[in-house]
Amino acid sequence: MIKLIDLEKSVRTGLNRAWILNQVNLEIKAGEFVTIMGPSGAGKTTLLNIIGMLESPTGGEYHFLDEPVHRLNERKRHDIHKQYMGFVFQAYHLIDDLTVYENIETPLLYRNVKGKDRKSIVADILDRFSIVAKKDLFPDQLSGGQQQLVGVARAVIHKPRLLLADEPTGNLHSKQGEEIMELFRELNEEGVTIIQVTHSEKNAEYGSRIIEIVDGNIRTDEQVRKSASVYGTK
Amino acid sequence: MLQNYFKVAYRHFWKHKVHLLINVLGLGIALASCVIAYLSWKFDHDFDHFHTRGEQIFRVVSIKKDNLQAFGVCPAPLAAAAKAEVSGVQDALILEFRNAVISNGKDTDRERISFTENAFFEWFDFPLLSGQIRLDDAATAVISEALAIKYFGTSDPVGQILTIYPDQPFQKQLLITGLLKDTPVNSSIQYELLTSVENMYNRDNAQVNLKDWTYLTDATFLMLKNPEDQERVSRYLEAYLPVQNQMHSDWQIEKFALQPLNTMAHHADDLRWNALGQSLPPSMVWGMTLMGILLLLTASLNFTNMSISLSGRRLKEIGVRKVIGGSRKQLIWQLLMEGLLISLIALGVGLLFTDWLLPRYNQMWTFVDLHLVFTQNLPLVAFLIAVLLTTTFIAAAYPAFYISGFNPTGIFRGKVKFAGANLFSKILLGAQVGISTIALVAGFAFTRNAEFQKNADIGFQREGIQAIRIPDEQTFRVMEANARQHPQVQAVAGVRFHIGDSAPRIEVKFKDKKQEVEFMPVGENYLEVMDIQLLSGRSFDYQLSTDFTESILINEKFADLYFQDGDPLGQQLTLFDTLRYNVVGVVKNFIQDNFHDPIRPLVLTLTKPDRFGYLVIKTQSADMLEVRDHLSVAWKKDFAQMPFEHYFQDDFLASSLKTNTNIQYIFSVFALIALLLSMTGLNSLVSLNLLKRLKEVTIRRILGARPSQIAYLLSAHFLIVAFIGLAVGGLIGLKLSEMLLNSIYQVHVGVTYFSLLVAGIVVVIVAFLTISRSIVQAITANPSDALNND
Repeated sequence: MIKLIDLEKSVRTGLNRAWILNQVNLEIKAGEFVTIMGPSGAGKTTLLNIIGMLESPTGGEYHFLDEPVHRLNERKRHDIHKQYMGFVFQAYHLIDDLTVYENIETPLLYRNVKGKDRKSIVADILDRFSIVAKKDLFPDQLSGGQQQLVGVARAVIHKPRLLLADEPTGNLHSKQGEEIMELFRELNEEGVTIIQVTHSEKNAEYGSRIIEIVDGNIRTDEQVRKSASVYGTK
Repeated sequence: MLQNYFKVAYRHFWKHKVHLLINVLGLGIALASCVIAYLSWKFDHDFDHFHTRGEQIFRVVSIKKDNLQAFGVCPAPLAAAAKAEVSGVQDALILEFRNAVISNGKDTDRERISFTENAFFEWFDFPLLSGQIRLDDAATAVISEALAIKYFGTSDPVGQILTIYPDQPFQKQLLITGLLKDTPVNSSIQYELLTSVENMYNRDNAQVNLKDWTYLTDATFLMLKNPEDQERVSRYLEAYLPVQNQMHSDWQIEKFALQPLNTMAHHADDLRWNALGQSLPPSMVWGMTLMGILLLLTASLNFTNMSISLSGRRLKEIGVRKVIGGSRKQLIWQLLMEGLLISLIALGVGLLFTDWLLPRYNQMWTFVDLHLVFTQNLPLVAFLIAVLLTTTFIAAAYPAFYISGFNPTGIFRGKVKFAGANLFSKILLGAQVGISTIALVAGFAFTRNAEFQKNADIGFQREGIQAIRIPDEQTFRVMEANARQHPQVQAVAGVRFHIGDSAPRIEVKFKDKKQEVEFMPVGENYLEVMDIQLLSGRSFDYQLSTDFTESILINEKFADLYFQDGDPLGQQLTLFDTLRYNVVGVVKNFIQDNFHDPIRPLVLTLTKPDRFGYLVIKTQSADMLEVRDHLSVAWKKDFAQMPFEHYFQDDFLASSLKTNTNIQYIFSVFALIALLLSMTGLNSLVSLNLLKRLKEVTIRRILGARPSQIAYLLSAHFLIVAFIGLAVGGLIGLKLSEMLLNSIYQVHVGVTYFSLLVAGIVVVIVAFLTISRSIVQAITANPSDALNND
């Protein structure tokens, strides 16, 4: 699904050039549940953003589903991003002026889903995430865990193939964090490829593969168990 | 999708409703002034444009030989001659006016009578409401609705009788045959009663002979077959100069000029002896336009400022929308639509406000009549759409095109700290403060001028003076006796042209020079009653019979202009070519008409009651009404056939004062709104700055910074910008006030830095009050709260 070849990201600081990512080579297959770990400032989030096409690399190649992303124009990249990817953030990033229902619905609006379909899709997901009762509340009326549930619901409402999560449980206490991770496991088992960035060893255990990044380089890359795609979905 | 946008916009703005309300109101009022400015311009531009044959119609004006000035009058026989003999002239028409007494047997008043022919109604589009027009019959008249209501109330005027000249031996009864619609305000031709030229009598009460080259008509119009012949026809008219100049040797004409009907109102101000109306004072149009633009600028700048500061709080939404699939184009549209929504609301507010304001505005000025009409008014609709799009762009362009370009990762990492306190918003703030100061300075300048008009030494006594117009010596004697009977009357006097009733200008010859000066024949005691001061020489001696025929007083202005190098006393002046007078004294300058007109060189002669035009009565101010009523009763008893025309001296100055008060009022409202808007802007900048620097401020406080240092830290750079705006705006305001005063008044108080000082103090106080809340908040906030937030 994802293939990175000699990927680089550097920024100019004064006269020098600082590498955030340097010579990253990585291949991720569909169905994997990958955890990216490493100390602060190692480049984990940058790598996630590049994979999510929110940032552009300064060098190297990025292939997504055999498309050479590094050679595509802005519009094409936007289309791929829109079609295949979903994002979950540490700080939830819900739109404050929209209700739970409207927040979840918004990605469908950007994908021109018809009104009737939209209603049933949103209703399904509210039901599945057990947040039907909260649908008319605004984000600031929810607890952190509930907000993150909405965040995940919004990220997967359009059935993305790839879910990118940047410290999804970083702002949650452990009970809430576990719920979110369980949800991720379920999604992964349904065939969604997940890449998460985390500091938590416990969260990493939910994944099938752990990549450790230090100073912009992959230090270790170990398979902890067979990924969902290998032993198949339920 | 639109619904989603609308919900976000609605909820977002609801959270900032006070801010938004001020902005929408400000923008609405600004739009209203733009609309009024546009309507004023249009009203002025369309002066006289409602006549279908207007393109072909030209007014003949005479350029006088001795001073090369254009006069509205024209020798009477020229019309008939041009029609008969000049090729290219299809038709000719004269229009003559006279202020004369008319009566319906019960009510009597002086009105303006227009004399013309039936053709008048073929030339001009003045609609007949009922009856018919039969001006070829000299025993008929047509009247306007206004006059009909005045004399006949609600009953049908057609078929009724009005008597013209009831005070004269040649009084004449006219049958009203038709009712006309009132003339629009932007028409040069204004009528009340129209009758045949045969009913026309000159100043000496002789019937006018239109074949007499020495008789000058008030307006002569030519209808040309082809408007392009204007130049050619005016050259052909030169053929009549020799005969006119031979017949009328003391009123020699250099040439005739043709003024197109469609534009003549705009040149009428340069025309002497002009009996037709003129377009708006230019300051009325440019003043309003300038104000509209400045107000719109302030309101828009504030809008931009608000958009910037509020969009800082929407960065997250923009980032999120990008991540979940929104393209930049969609975001630009979303933000532009929000701007359009607000502008639409503001435009609605503006139009409602205009609708409310227009009748009041029309009442403020006698010479405007503006209406907000959309049907068949494509230019107005186009203007409104242009204004709407402009404000939308100003309000929304910055967030729509700039912020939508931010990268979501930058936003989420907090790299994009966007709090609106950048150079751009500081410049906006400076401009706003500047504009407010302009309005304040102008407001204070006109306030000072109002005080000046009320209290300044205008060279004569204005308290306790009233005057009544009298037609002849007998009336004067009777009314003088009546006035003297009243115990409260302190003094009475007679005069031919009273101060305030424009004295005529005549030619005076002295030292081989000829100059045009104002001519004011006064009766015994007039100078004393009016308290006109003598500067040098002596006043008239009423015992000396030669003073009535040989002595003359001049005013200071005359002496300054023409006798700089010598004593005017003892100089000989020749009036009317033959009458010689010796200058016996110089009087102090006084306002001859009102503040709009300059103080002109003036001569005063002594005259007897047979030439009097006014009886002037002096009392205590408190007794004026009582004396007026006494005189009114006496008048009705003896002279019921004539109108009782009474004036308080202040009436003559009232129009200047009203204009001044109106302008003062307009500027005060303008200043208030501009100040409110700029202070909203200042407040949002300072509080945003506080929000951004709360942590820094808290740390500094923990480290021991004094409150004054914190206040300085938060507001210094805004206050510097505000001071620059204050200084620049103040200087522009002074210049502008001076220009405006000059364009309206010939005599005014001028401008001083005092206005600037007062405006400055006001702005500074208001600015400090505005920012004090944020600063107190910064100084008293609990440090732990501020730091824990991070």
